[in-house]
Amino acid sequence: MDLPVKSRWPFRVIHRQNPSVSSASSWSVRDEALFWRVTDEELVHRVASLHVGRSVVLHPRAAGMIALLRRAGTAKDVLDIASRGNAEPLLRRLFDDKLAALAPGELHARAIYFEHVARMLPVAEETRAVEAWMRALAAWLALQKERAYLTTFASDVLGKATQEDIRVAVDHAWSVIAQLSEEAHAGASTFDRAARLRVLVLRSASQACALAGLTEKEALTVTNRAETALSDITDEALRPIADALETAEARNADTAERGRILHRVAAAWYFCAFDPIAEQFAVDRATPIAWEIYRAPGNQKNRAFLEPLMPLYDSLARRIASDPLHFAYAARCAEIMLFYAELEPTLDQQIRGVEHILLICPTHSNGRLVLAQYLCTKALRALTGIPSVANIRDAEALITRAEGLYPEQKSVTNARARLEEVKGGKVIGR
Amino acid sequence: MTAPTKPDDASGNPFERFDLDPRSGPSQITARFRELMDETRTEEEKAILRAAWEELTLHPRDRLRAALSTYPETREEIPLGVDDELPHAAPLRVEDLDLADLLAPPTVASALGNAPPPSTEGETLANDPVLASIVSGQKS
Repeated sequence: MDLPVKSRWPFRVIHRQNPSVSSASSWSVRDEALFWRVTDEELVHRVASLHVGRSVVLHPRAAGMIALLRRAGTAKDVLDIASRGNAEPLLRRLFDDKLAALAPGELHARAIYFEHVARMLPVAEETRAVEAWMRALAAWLALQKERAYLTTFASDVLGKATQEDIRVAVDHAWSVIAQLSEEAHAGASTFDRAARLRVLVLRSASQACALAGLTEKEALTVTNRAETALSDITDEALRPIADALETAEARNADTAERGRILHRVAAAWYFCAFDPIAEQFAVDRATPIAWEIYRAPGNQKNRAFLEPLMPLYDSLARRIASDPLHFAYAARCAEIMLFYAELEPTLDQQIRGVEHILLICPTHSNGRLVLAQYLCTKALRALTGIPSVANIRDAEALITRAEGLYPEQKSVTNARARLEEVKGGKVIGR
Repeated sequence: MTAPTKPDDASGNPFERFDLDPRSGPSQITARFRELMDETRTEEEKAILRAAWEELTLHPRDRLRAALSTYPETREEIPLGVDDELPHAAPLRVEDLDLADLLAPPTVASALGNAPPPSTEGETLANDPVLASIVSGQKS
């Protein structure tokens, strides 16, 4: 539009001036609508810029989200404050609003807003980006229930919407999950950070369901989809490691090389947000290597081999202790942890390590045997020289415990014999 | 090739990228892309436009998916040809304006690019030529 005379004042001032200077202009309904459209555009820019942490420009239609808030009449205070330059309360409002209380158009606009913000946030802002994604997903899930809105929307876009078109609109939340999954899958083999962010979003699916106010049954459908996607992503992250291990085994690579390959599981585990599948993979693939190292001279190497994988085994142990679903892995997890416990630097640390293993799998035969031996060694140490009465009492308790664990073990019967010898009164100190 | 607005291309959504109303039908979309094509100089840009046009026009369900993935139109409608005057508010003093009022809206700022703002040195709102012309128009 060409103005007859060029104004040197910014556009916004003229707009704001118009409705107020009664003698200066006639202010029409159209001017009023334009004024609020520009104002809302500016407010959505402010709130998104604050949210993302840098100046961002959204499409002008994003201003509709503010227009809806304004029309609802419940956000006057925060909009006024935002108009004066402080968008913080308005941003808080976007977080605090109960999704169930929002109109379908608002849900739709919020879903897009949060998704755009999530995509604009840098990967380093992981927590904020995951939160924004989770809120976008929650808004989509809540919108899925608004069939009437989605039917009208599909008809508006297509002219005439068939049942299949309406189904596409209603199922859009699923395509959001599918898209997140696809993006995570694409970066899984390289443990890409942006892909990990998508994994974290899928892991927060149950939180999104709660925000969306879904019923337990509805939420289960969502979380099952997310879980299936996550399993596929973890498989994709582990696949290059499995392939590399297979190749290394085929050409008889030594344990050091295979160990280095397997250590990448720790990175995969972090990438897939600590998926138990990665923990189980680490148990299954490490056990034959650990046995090979154990049987070779200088089995101390097992400690260096297992060290980077111990966080995975500790995590799996915690799962086994708290969730019966994981109990099938109790014996295998105990076995691999036993290799590490045996190489602890002191006897007390070794005992603590094996005690921990028997908490995971109380019937683990090798674990019981090893602990019985350690307890007897400790008892015999207490009985060396001229043992005190207290030492004899401690030794007796240790041997009794060892007998309970593995009675037929030779070291146990030897320790009992030594104890009886001491108790026979030959050498007792104070 | 430039779209009328330059939003951060967070989604790559063609409705946003080429400033299309999600409720536009294939003929409106085609007309818009024809305009954009006329402004386009390079083959690469033409290929991008063609791909986006095909995405929005070849299959209605792809258009529906793209429409769902952009902001719905929830702004107040701008009435066409309505010039009913609204009741005047109390006069606003220049002193009541704050710094935020001096900022251009984001899409305007974006369209201006990095051009320096016009100088207002020595100017007051009272002698702004546009306002002066409006005032004189009102009085006459």
